[in-house]
Amino acid sequence: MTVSLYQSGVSGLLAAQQQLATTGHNISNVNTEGYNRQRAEQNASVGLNNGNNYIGSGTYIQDITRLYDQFSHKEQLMNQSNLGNADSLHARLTQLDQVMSTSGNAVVGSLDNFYQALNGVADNPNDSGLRSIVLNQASILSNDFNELTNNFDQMTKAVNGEIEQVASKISEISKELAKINETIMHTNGALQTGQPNDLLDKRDQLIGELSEYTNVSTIEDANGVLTVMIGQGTTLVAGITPLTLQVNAGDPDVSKTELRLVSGGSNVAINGSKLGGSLAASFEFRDEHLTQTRTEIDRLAMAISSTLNDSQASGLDLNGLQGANIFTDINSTQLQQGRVLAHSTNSPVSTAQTQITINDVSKLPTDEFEVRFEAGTYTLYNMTTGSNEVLGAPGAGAPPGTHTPTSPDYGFSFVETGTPVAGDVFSVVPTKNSAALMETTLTDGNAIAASTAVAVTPSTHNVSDGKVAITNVINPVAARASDITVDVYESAPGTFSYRVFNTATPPPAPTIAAGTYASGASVLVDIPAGTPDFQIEISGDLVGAGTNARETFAIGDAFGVGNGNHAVAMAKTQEIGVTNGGKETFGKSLAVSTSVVGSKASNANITADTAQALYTQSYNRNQATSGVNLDEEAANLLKYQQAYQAASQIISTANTIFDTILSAVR
Amino acid sequence: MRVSTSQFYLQSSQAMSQQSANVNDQMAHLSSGKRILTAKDDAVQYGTLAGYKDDLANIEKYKRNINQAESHNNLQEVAFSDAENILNSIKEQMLQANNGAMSDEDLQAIAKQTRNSLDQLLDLANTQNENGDYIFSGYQTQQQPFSQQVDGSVSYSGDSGIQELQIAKNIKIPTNQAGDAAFMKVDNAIGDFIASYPTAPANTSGVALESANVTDRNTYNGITIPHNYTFNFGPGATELNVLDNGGVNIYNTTTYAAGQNIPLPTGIDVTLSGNPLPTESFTMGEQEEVSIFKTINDAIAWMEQGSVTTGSEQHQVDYNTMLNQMNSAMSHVTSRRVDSGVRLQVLESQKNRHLDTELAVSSNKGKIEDLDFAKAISEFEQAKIALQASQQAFSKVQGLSLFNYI
Repeated sequence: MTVSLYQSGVSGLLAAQQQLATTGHNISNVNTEGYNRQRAEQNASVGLNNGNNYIGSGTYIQDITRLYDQFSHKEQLMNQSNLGNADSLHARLTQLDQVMSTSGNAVVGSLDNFYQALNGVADNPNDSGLRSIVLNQASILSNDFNELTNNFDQMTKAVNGEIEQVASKISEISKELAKINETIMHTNGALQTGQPNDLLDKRDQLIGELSEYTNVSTIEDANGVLTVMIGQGTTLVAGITPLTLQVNAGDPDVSKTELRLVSGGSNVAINGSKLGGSLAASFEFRDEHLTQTRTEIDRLAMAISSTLNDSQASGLDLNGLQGANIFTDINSTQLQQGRVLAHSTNSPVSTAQTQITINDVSKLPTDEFEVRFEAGTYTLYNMTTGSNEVLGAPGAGAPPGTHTPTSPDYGFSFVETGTPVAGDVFSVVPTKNSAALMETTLTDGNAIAASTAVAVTPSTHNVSDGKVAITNVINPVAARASDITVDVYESAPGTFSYRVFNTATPPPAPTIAAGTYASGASVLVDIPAGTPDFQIEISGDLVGAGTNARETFAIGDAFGVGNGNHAVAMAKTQEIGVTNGGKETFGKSLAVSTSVVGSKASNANITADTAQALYTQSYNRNQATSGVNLDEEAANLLKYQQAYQAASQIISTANTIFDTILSAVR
Repeated sequence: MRVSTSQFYLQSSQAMSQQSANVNDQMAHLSSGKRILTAKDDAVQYGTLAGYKDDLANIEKYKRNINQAESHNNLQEVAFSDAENILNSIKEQMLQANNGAMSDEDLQAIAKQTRNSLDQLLDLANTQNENGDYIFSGYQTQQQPFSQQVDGSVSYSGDSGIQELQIAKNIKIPTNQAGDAAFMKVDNAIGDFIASYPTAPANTSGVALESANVTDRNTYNGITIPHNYTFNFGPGATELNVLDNGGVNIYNTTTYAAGQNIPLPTGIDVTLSGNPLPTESFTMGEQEEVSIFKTINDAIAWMEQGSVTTGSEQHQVDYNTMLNQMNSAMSHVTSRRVDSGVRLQVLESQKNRHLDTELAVSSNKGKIEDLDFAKAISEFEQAKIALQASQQAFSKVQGLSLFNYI
């Protein structure tokens, strides 16, 4: 009996020691990340049969388990991925929003200053100081666009850098997990009982870290080896074999880097935006939001350049020459070729040279396009809407090689030369590089076309309401030489008969144009017919008093150093709608782009707040089971201390009993 | 629910960092005074705000243009006002010269005065503005518009260009008046024709062309030969024959009475004044507009003829024609001055409209963009207090541990 008592005491002592050790372990690891608190399970030893009674023989520690709820752990992982995604997207969109708001304001400011200076020239066209101020403002404007593009480039670089870092971190985690899996497998395989709790904790903590970067799901097999999958089921750790992630340059756009999953000697492409977590946020930001904003800014730069260049070309500068381009020509060779990128998978035998010519900026969308050569024809695919249109065989179109989509008309033409090979794919971004390459090419203030070339002077005998207006000047220098008379009279009720002729050779000599138009309508006339130098529009009820008493208008040279009327017309372009089908002015276009980014950032803010709240809740739930509470452990310390003391008392009692028996025998 | 130690610390630190971020945010708004710093603060209203800013920038642009246009038109108005004064004094000199008691020397003296006035007017017509541009040259602002030839006539070498400035979205206002419209194209007081009277022998009856207007443009334009007409009186006492440029007799009446309307079949209505004598004649040619300088030069030449004894009726006819033309010139210059004045009125009213609009847009913009300071400061205080509270709560609770008691 005393022997059993002795045994019980010792077992209690040992059990209390293990309990104290476990409690001590918990207390020391109170601040360890990912630590699940451990508990020693104490069981009573089997009783020994003595006579008719089973006398218990103490206690033993059955198992030291960690308190781990796999369901709440999985919930925490999922919420952590969402939080990683939302936080990353929020931070990047806020940065983009700030860049757009500040740089956007700078662009609006310099646009205003440019037009103010232009109005100054309109008032005083002869002042060369005012003219050079206009060019100064123009170069500030183009610099602002360059700066904005630089900012976008920096952001792209930063995002690409982060993607690389995250990819290498994930690869490291993958290798670590594989090692731990191996160790766990060996431990289990050696038929040792008991869980390697700390190894399991470490593994779970690594998975927790992984979940911030991507979505994670796990499957545990009989040996305790965990297979880890990221994203929508791509295996990252297959048991004890790690796979790694690698970042490759994009194709065809080098700055759009792509992920590849590397296993042994082979690699597979992974769609980064479907992985979830902060990695997906990086891809989404770079490929959707930043690209969209960049395309809109490029389109705005293109609209400003082409509107002002076209306006310059229809006026005369201080020396009587046709106004030259103020900004880089939107169809310069460098820009045209930069808009098309050939895929690296294209056959090396293919000799196709491609470029994009912009015809009408107002029709240009922000969609992305691809042109594929298959079955002998080029086909245009709109990657954003999903529609497609057959462009034609190589060399078709007029001039040869020029293919213009018509349904719908996007405002650009695809120009190709050379021989393609079936399967060639080209990515088309019609607005690419417009803001980065925008420069003020004009250096001489005298070259600003402030003067109109021709003007219409109505005769003082005209009595009716109606006018002849100059609508389009194509060759202002040649237009100056015109000396044209237009006369109109009402030949029949509601029908107006007009003649356009050189003043020097009036009818019956041949006219430049003659015809009729109905009341309320108007007519456009090319002067001279065929390849016009300029066009006029005759409109209104020009009722003359008879076939000889026609309403006449004289059109002639209007050039003068004091003529600033063309500068007035150029300054008016600030208020006409150009982009988006002619509905938005420049200022409005920029404001729309900025608002869109702002609202995305604000939404991302709300999503991030929600994700944070959800994560905190699931973390709390997890911690409720697995977290260490110092007060609880302190109480446990006392409890097990007392148990230890009591157990040692048992031994001392057993000793006393033995002594008593010994002293009885003496 | 069980709370672990690390959970407690995590929550406290999260709460504190959230509160400090709030306080920071409020401070940024307070120090800038704006509710909307970036589009993220209020994406929906950001677009409207950008629209208001655009409007204000446009109004600023128009106000500047209005200022420039006002200064140009002011300069012209002053020039025309001076021109009016000069023409007034020339007319006085002409009236003076018509006094029969004037001797040759007196007339020469007056002619000299008139010549001085002409020089003054010429100088006025060649006014330059503060930039050295000629204001009456049309588009050719570097080119002096009016120059006097050796024979005394004044020619115009500018053009008819009208320079305009944009003062509102759809309103452009002219900022100059071309010199030809201002000084060369004065309406002919007679109408569309001028008369030239024979000199030797001169008419003695004092018959003059009073008015000649094109009434039927249709017929008038249909005539292919130049519109020169010769009026021959006689041989009857009240007979009048009118020949066209080709010598064809197009009108004949034997019962001519002074002042009656002579309707020519080529679409012209003519009225003469005075009682013509047989064998008198004159010719009539097209001229719709007469230059002021020509009128003044004619007056000077008339005065320099001195006191005329023979052919004084024709001398008087010439004088009457000139005086009528001078009146027409004066009312023309007054009209030009009124033109400038009207433009100044338009500019003034447009400027007021812009100021009103500017006020309205500014206040709308302020409603969206400006910070409501009372609300912001109270929110700032709240955030500050929340931060303090979370800090104090943390410091109080973190000291509670069972280990302190065992």
